[in-house]
Amino acid sequence: MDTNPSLFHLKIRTAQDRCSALTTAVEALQLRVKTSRGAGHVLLAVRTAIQAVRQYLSTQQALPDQDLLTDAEKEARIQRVAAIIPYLHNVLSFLEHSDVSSVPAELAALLRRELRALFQNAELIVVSSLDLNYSIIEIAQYIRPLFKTTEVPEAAVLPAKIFRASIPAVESEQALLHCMLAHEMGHPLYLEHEIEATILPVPIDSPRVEAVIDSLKKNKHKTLPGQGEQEGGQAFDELSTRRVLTATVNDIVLNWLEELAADLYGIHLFGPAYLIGFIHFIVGFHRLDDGSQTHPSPRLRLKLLFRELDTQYMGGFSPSTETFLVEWRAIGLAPGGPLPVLQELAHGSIDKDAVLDRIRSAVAKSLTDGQKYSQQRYTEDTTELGPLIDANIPPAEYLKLMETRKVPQSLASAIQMSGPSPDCEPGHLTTKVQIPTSTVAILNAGWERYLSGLAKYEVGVPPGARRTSFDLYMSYNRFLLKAMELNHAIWEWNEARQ
Amino acid sequence: MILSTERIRAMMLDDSVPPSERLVITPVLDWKTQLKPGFCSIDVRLGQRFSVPRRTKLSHLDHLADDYRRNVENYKDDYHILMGDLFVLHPRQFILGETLEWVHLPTSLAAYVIGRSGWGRDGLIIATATGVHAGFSGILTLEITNLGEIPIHLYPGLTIAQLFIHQVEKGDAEPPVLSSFAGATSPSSGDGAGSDRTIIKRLRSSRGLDD
Repeated sequence: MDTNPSLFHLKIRTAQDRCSALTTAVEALQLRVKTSRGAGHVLLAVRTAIQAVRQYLSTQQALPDQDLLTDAEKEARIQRVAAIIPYLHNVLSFLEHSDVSSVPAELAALLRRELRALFQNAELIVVSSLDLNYSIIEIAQYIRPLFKTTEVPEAAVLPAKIFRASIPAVESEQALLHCMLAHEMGHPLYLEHEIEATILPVPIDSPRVEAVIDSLKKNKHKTLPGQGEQEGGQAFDELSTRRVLTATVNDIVLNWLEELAADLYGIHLFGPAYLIGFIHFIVGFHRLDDGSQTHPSPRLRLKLLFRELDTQYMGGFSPSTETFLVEWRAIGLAPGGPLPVLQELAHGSIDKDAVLDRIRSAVAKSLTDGQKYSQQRYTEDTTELGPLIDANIPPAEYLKLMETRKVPQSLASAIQMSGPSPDCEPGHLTTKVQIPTSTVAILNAGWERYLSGLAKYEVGVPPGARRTSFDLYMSYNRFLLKAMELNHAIWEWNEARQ
Repeated sequence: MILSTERIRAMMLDDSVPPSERLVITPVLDWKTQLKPGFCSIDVRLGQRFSVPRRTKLSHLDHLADDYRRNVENYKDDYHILMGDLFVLHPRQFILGETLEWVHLPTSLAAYVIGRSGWGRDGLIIATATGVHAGFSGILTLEITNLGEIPIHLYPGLTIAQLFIHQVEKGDAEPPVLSSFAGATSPSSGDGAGSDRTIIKRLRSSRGLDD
């Protein structure tokens, strides 16, 4: 039956060689310092899969009755697991540029903390890419089915969710701009909480649709994207045009709803820092009225963000921050320029008070108060941490002794003690402590001081490090990253102590 | 006058003093072990960043060379070792490390860094340039070398040196000059020749010692 005995063994041998190459790659990746623990889970999944493939191949090779099988049957047996090999390469590609030389380790650690407050037991990989873009995708969903379809046992330690966050490599040290990650966290939250179902339906503006159809009828040579060129002399295909128009505008509306909701998650999670970071990042190189099929115009996004800001953060801003916000609020509320026809239809459907408020309500209800960055926290952070920044002290912890709290005796012995209290639980002491800050606190205080002009901070920077305004800006960002590094050290140390 | 441990603690926790004028050493991960009564010092920990000269690329360091600073910056490898990970320092190897803590001294205080004797007895020498000027704010760069016979594992977070803090007598009439290391967020190299470079070059030239 075996017309080509060498084919079977060749397939096995080459598959085993591919496994060896993957093993070498995994070992090399393990030796490189990883900024995030999620990478360890991915490597474990790949290693487990490689072992399973090897074992299966060895079993197949040792089968006693191979001669009874046809070439096709033997090939099918090998292919069943060998097919996973290219996908394992793709899985390893998730880890590209995730080492400490590419990504600030402190950013990865603190972002992991923020994500795990929203998604229990989630893991994170942070990578840098050459795109001027931030993104977060959940990758466990792509790895898990891979194992199921190829009958390889799923790695027992694959977390429910592994997020892969990407930051721009060129801007990796720009701590202030990393606020954009709050928007990216909004996307999985949007899906997790099924926000779309809560917001819909969003009716498309019918009179405007009719106006567009009429306009196309009058000019028979014009077609919508996706329809193809209509030759002169052909009758206007109204049915097809309506179908394409409706479907396209619906898609745009759905995409824009998600983006707007992600913006709102951004401001809920990261506070005013997100809005300010958004303005500096997006508006820096996007025209205010340029949307796309996937993203609404920055102006519409600003309008919604300010609507939320004005509800959640009523005052409490420094004069320079207030001035900045007043200026940009006016820009957000100003009438926008003309849009391409399909975007105009989507814009007209969404830019209504009822729809915008529905998005706001859906997002707000999906988060607990503890998950939101409140005005009280913003005021406290900018008040307490601003003077630290002015004095060139990284705001990794509040220097002011905070409220008395009960702590376990084992922890209390390591921190400043004010003494035991008679009403304490056994094994605990009451003590005043210097509490570590958080990423969000550092970013909000950081932006607030930045908008003030950094005049006081600049005094503590050597002249050689602030020759240009960009030099000063980079010095400031590195200073904030240092605050994050120290902040993470405190959290890590305290967790290890318990 | 060197400050006692209790005085150091009290000054660090004095909320009535504005941050710019306050003694700040942050973070102190363990007050009890880092501030021992009677020691008149505060222990500081090893930070996460290390700078290693790339010997394969540098034949010498000439402080008079115009590109000296560029050579030092370009021909070094920077390592970021996460907490829990280790850095192996081999015998006779010299590296720059840093303190985990950010040290902020008001203008009324200065300090000096001394390696802990426990490490010294293993041959690990810390911080040959020990003075911290009044008014300094930044992480402290530690010059670290292994004079022992056996490689040493360095772990970020271990207490590696101690900071003695002393009061400064009434300051100079002129405003203090800002240290070039002020605000350092990672181990940084200095410029040993500085403003003397030009003068020494002229002296060499006058003696016909130009290269």
